[in-house]
Formats: sequence, structure tokens, C-alpha cells
Amino acid sequence: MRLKKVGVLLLSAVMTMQLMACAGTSTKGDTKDTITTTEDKTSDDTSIKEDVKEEAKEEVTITIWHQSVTDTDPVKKIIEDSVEDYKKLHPNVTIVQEGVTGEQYKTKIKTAFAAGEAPDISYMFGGGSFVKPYIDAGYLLPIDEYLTSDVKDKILDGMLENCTYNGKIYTFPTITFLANLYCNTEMFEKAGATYPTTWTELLDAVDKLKAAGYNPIILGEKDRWPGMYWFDIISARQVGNPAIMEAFKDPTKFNSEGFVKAAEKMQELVNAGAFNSTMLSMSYDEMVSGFAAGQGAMLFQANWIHPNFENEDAVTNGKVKAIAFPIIEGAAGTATEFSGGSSDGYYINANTKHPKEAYEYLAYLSERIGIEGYEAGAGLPCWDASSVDASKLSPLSQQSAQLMETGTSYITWWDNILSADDSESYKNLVAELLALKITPQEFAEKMSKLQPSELY
Amino acid sequence: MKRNWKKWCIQIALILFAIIQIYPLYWLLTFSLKSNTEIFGGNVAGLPHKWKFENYLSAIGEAKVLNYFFNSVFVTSITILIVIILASTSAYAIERMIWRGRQTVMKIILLGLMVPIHAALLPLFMVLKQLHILNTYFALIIPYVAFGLPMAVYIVASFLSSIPREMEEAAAIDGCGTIRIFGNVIFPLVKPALATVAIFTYISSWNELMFAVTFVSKKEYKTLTVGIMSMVGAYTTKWGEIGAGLVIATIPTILIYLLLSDQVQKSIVEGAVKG
Amino acid sequence: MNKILSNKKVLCLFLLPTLLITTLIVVIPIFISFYYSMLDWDGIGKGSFIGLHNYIELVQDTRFLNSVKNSLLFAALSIFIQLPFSLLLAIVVANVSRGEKFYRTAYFIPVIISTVVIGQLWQKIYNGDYGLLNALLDNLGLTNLSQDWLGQEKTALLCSFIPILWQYVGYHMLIMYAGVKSQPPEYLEAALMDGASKVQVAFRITIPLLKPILKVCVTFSLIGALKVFDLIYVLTNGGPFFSTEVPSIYMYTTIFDSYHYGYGSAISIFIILECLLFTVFLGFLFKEKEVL
Repeated sequence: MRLKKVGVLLLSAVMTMQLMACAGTSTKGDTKDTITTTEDKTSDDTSIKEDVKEEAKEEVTITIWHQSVTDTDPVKKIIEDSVEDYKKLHPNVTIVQEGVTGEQYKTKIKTAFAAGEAPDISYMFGGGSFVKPYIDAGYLLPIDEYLTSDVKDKILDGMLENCTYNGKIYTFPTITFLANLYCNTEMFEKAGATYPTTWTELLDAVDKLKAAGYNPIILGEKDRWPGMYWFDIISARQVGNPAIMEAFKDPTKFNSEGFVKAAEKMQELVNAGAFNSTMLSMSYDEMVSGFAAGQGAMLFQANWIHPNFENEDAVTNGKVKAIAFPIIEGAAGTATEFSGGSSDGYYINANTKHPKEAYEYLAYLSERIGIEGYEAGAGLPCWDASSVDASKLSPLSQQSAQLMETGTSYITWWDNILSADDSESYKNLVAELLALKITPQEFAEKMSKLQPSELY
Repeated sequence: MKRNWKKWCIQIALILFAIIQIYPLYWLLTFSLKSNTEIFGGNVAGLPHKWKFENYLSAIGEAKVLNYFFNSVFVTSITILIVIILASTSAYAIERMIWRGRQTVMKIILLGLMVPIHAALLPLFMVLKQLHILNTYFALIIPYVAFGLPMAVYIVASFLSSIPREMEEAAAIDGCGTIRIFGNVIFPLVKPALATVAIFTYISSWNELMFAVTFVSKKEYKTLTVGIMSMVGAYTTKWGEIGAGLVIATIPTILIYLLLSDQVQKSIVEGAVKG
Repeated sequence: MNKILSNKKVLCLFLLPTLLITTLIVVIPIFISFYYSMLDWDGIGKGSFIGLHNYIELVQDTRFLNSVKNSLLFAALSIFIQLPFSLLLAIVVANVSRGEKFYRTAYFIPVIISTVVIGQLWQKIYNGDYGLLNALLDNLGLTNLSQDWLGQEKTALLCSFIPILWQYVGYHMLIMYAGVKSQPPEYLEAALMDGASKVQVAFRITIPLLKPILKVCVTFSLIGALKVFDLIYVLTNGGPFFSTEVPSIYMYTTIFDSYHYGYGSAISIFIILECLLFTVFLGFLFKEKEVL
């Protein structure tokens, strides 16, 4: 028996070693090797293709993982349709799509990449806290060498910048999300409040809405990112987008009068009783559904929430108006600076066996999501969508599109810019600010300790 | 008279507690028939104002709950079967047989209870990859068995420890070997424990989500919970439909529980008669 | 008899499959996690070996220590409140004259229902705006007591424990119930003949005979408490301000939100060692009592 035990132990030790070898430390070498071999292969492929164009092509299967799983997400249908249509266009290419919902998607994709079992194409959230570590580790494929000018021309100006890291393009934009201030028109009318265009008007609206017995602003701070959206936009109004970009490059600039004032403004709203007292226990879902159910007069969120308000069960159906976030009098920001972006996208695995086919499908899918997603109200297009009849869009999507047309500059959500650690710290600081646990000065002081980050 | 009064008090207390315990089931049923507006504040506890039976159609149509049903049934039944066989034999070996290191082996088996699964996800993924069973039923069955065994072995072993040894000794005198003693004497005696183990194994593998999402990427092998959770959207979620999916998933659980807990009762009665 | 019980072939047949599966699926991943725990690794690129540095950092991490404190409190509540209650129910239900099957079924229902639903239900109970608990307090004229139960640091911790304690009462009850039911009725009858009351019988005979089962329940309850995750994650996400954070949640966010795979693995190894230590301690405790 003793001998057997030793045997089992040895067996497990050997297996552990093997497994460690394929995880952790040696992964990078592996990846690099495969990159070079795949590169060789592609050049072969293309040369063969040029020689014998008409001959039957190799059967190729491309797998794609995404997180568009519900019928309320128009992208789900676009991806499903694209799989069928692509087969008709390219009979030799089979696309296999797999949708996994939010929180589980995160664990699944991270595990699969770490174990070298990632799909050819995967959906990634943009920025430092999600996609960047994969790019730095060489797990994702730049698409510059495949990118042609006719594809480039179809993409709206400046949109590819969001997809560029260290000078290389890694994905295509699809749709842009943009945060707007959503107002419940019924409540505003009953309270006799005007839609705020300035900070003073905002505070005035808060007072009137409160007096009429409404909760002025609904905020779900349990998940912490909804509160972050508020500080993102208040800073944009206070110091202006250019100054924010400077601060990201040199975080000591967060510890300046402008950002302290922005933090003061945030607490001014809290002290005015603008937010629901239950914000710390309210989740994102409860916030959005709560607004749809008439539990708040204002909500600051991105335009992906429209399906929640534009359905027959929502009390607020037809009673919601999207406006630009009010400006702060005498401050540097303008009403045409927006919070939002399009850095989420689909990325190609550096280890894919078929980089060219994956790229072609990526381009095809991204354009379809850009245009059809816009048509279906999922967001605003990053591609030339002049063919779309905008008058058919839902009222909210139209308002949101019109707002975007006024846009002069965009900064994506800050947790898409900061590194994973720093975005956690930032979100926690905003929560503390909202709970009045820290002063604006302390907030600014702590923000200045973040690491410098690049803007994409 | 005084006794009766006491009995009634106990009954009333038991019924009150029963109401509390059954309430979630009732709540789930009403939840599954509501819209988000009612769920989030409009009407959290009452009957739906507007009965949304279409939630069930969506759960069946959109999330393809019924398609995944078979996979869950298959994975769960095989898991239960293996757990019962391995747990009863191993528990017997640990509790009854004579050899050194029994306590150590028990601790090793119990390790399965102690592992926080989120950290084990990546190492386990790599083991399954090496075994070439990712994207098969076994990618779920084997981990479910492994993490179900500690609980099962521990329960069966503790039941065994309270069973007197006389019957086995009698069987040994009759000339039975180890395997026959186990099959004819022990197995029937631990049936109540095994039925309990089956219930727990059923619940944990039927409801498991993390492994099911991570280890299986092929639609053919996906399980019910994955189907239901695919109705949780990134930005918009219709909770009523998820409720509907969960009702569909909970019905078999209750039936199985009734069946198995009757089995517990029956085997206890049988055992008592035989004993 | 002893010869039969030390049959090596049968022993292997009975034990090796279990050991093989446990080794592959449990032991090897623990070794791998232990290896990760000695890396400074984000889970994506290349890790660098830093020895026990993660562990040194861990014992100085106040956020981590707080999470451990929370889980220990939860373990204590599980053992000293949940289990006695389960035991009471198990004994009463096993001896009740009428409706035994109904109670046995009803009490188990919360265990059957998905955590997603239980989480949603308790969010509706605790909700500060329209929650059932506040509505109840209002109706009782205690409006000044109604509050945002999960949104305040002083109430959130206890409020996030209660649903879990409640949900698993039925789980432990079922194990204990099966134990009570398997006890030979002769003992009880003999005691009752001697004129002992039912309560005396319970304390003098049923509970002592139940000891192996109680050990099982205490072990499960303790380990379950030390690695508790699901319901707290749904209810509070560890917040507000980490006040309800437990080690598993801290581990999860460390690995999957902050990309510190090495540090997260160190927390995981800590949880395993903590569970192991307590299990050994429990074994010791229950053995001592047997001697007494």
C-alpha cells in the first residue's frame, strides 16, 4: 500500500510539473513561436492563393466568443445571421459562435487564454483594465498587415484610434456608446422643472423634483461603475476633456483645483439629496429597471439602456428624453464633450491557425454590427451608415444620435483607460466620495497616486 | 389534555416555519410571471398584476431551456451513479477495513470540500485539457464527481460508524468474502445515507454554473443552468424570463427530492424490520 | 474477520478509483495553485517567481484580515445558531405525530431553490425603498427602524449572513433527520419505559448517538462558512466598502478584476489550509469527548 501511495504522489507530482510548464512561466515563449509559424503560414497561403485562385479552398473553421446572449441585445441576432450569411459568401469558412453572459464571460475568457484554449476571435472590453494585458502579453494579433484602404474608408474618422495600441491596430470599432442624461418627462412636467442645461438648473431641477415627491436622480452604486460615470462626466464639464487627458498621462495633475472642484460638485449633489439614499445597496439592474419603473427622474447612463425604457412593460415607455449633461458655469468643459467610446470589440487570437480568414470575418462582422446595430438601436455607428434611414430609429436612439453629431471630443469610461488595479481604486474612491467618507481634497490627493496611463 | 395542548403548540410552530420555507417557491412562481417593472419595485411580493405567461415561452424558445434539459439530466444522473458507487465502497474501506493511514486518506478526500472553486478553475481547466476531455460530458461529470465525493464519503462513513458490526461478523462466519459482505450486508444498511447523498449530489450538479460555463463551449453539451443564465444580458435583463427558466429547472428537483426522501424513509423502515 | 477486512485487493478496488479522481481533480490543481501563489503573475503573460512574498503581503493586508474575520464570525454563527436549530427541527420532525413527510419536504425547499432566486428574494426583503422588511416595520409602527439594510456598513454584514444561515437549515436538518431515523428504536423505547420525558430522551440518548452525524454537520458547516461566496456576492458584492467581504470574494476580485493571479492563489491556499486546520481540530475535539 505504501508503495502505491508513493506511486500516486509521484504521478501527481509529474503531472503537476507538466501542467505548470504549460501554464505560467513558459507561456510567452510558446506564444511567440506560434506567432512566427503562423506568419510563415499566411505568407504561404497568400502566395498559393495568387497562383491557383480557382481551386477549391481549404475548409476553415473560425470560432468566436462573445457576450451578446439575450434577445434584448440586437447584436445577438446580428452575429447569428452573420454566421449563416458568411457561409453563403465563403462556403469554405464555417463560423462557430458561442455567447456567454457577462460575469461568467470574464472568468471563461481569462481561463481559456491562460490555458491556451482561447477561440480565434473573442469579444473584449477595451482599455487598460481588460484587453491591454492580453495585447502586452502578445496574445492578440495586430491586423495592420491585412487592413486595406477600402475597408478603412468605410470607417468613420477617428474611430480606428480607439482600436490602436502601441501604434498597431488590433480590432475594428463596431458601435459607439455614449452616456446621456435621461429624464423622465412626466416627472419633470409634474414638478414644473426644466431640463437642465447648466449646473444651477440641475440643482434647481433637483429641488423641484424633490419638492414634488420624486427621487431626483437614481443611482446604483453597489456595482460601483455607475457612480464612476457621474464623476467622469462632472470632471469633463469642470476641467474639459483635454485636461483629463493630461491628467491620465501625469496623474499628479488630478491633485489640482479643477478635480477638487469636480469632487466638490459631486458631493454638492449628494448633500442636495439628489441621489436615492439607497444608492450603496442598489445594483445596476435595480437602477435601470427602477428608472424604467418610475423610481427616479434622472439617470446618467450609456445608450445601451434604451431597450429597458422602450418596451411595453416599462412605465416610462415614451416618457424618456435624452439630453446632454449640463455644463458648469464658468468652467472649462462644454456640452459637446462626451463620455463614451467604442473601444470594446472583437479581437483575433495570435495563435489562430487562420489569421487571414479570421481577419476577413472580423471586418465583415464589425461592419454589420456597426450598421445593423445602429439600425436596431444598439448604439451609434462607427461605420459609414448613410444607407440607414435614421427616421426609422426609436425616438431615444434618434435623440442620442443627434447629440452625438454635436460631439467635439470623447473620452471613454475611465475604467477603460486605467489599469485593472487603478480602475478598482478609482471606483472605490468615487464610492467613498458619494458616501461622504472622504473630502474632495483627499479624493484628489489619492487620485494623484495612480499610475500614468496611455490613452487609446 | 395537557399533552394535546403541547402537541398543538408544536404543530403550529412547525406549520409557521413551513410557511416561511415554502414561501420562496411561491415567490419564485409569481416572480416568473412578472415584468421587470413589477419585480423592481412595482409589486415585489404579490400576485402579478399582469400575468406574463409569455415569460415561459421565451424561456423555452429563446434560452432553449428544454434542449439543455437532457444534458443536465444525463450529466446529473451519471454523476449521482458514480458518486454513490465510489462513496459507498470508499467509505467502507475507510471506516471498516483495517489498514494504516485511514485518517490521512479521509483528509485527502475531504480536501475537495475545501478548495475554493474560482481559484481552481484554471488549474482544473489544464488538467482536463491534458486528459483531452474538454467539451465533452466528462468535463463536467468528472469534476462533479470529484467535488461531490468528499461530502458523500464523509456522510456514508459516519453512518457506517454507527452501525453495529455484528451483522458483518455473522456474514463472515457464514463464509462471505469482503465484496459479498459489502454487497449483501453493508450496502442495504447505508441506503438511507446514500439517498441523502444522492439528493445533495443532485442539487449541486444540477445547479452548477461555473464549471458548466468554463469547461464546455459546444452547444451539444451545455447544461440547463447555462441556458438559463444566458438570459442575463450585459445591459438589459428580463428577470421574469429567468424566473420562468428556473421554475422549469426546479420542478424536477422537487420531484427527485420527494422520490429520494421517500426512499430514505422506506429503507429505514425496511432496515428496522430486518434488524 | 480481520483477514477479510484487510484484503488488499478489495481495498484497492474500493479506494483507488476515488483516490485517482481526487488526485487528478483536487490534489493536482491544489499543487498548481500553490505554485501560482509563489508567482507575481497577472494570469496572462509571464509570471516571475517571488517565493513566499505573496503570503508575507497577505498577512499584512488589512482588507484580507478583515475578510477572514468576517468569515470566522460567519462560521461561529453557523455552528452555534444554525446547527442547533437544524438539530431541534430534525428531532422534532422525526418524532412528530402528524405531517412528518410534509415538514420534511417543506423545510428542505430553500436548499433546492437556486441561489439566484434566493438572492433576488432577499434583495427584495432588504431593499431600502420598497423592501418587505421595511414595509413590515412600517406596518408595526416602527418606521424609524426601517433602513437600507444592505447599504450600510453597520447592518450589511449580519444581513448578508442571515439568508445563508436560513437557506441551509434544511440541508443540515436532512442529514440529522436521517441520522435520528436510523437509530435503533429499542433504545428510545427502553428509555421511555423508564419514565424519561421526551426532552430527556433527546438529550440523553438521541443526541449522543447522533455524534458522528453531528461531526459531519459541524465539519460541512465550518468549511462551507470559511469559503462562503455565492449569496454574499449576489447580495452585497462584498460591499459597501468591503464591510461584507469574505476571503473567497476577495480572492475572486483579486484574480478576475485586478489581475493578480498569484496573490489570489495565495488566498486560495490560505483558505484550504485554514479549512484543513479546523477539520483536524474538530477531529481532535470530537475524539476527546468520546473518551469523556
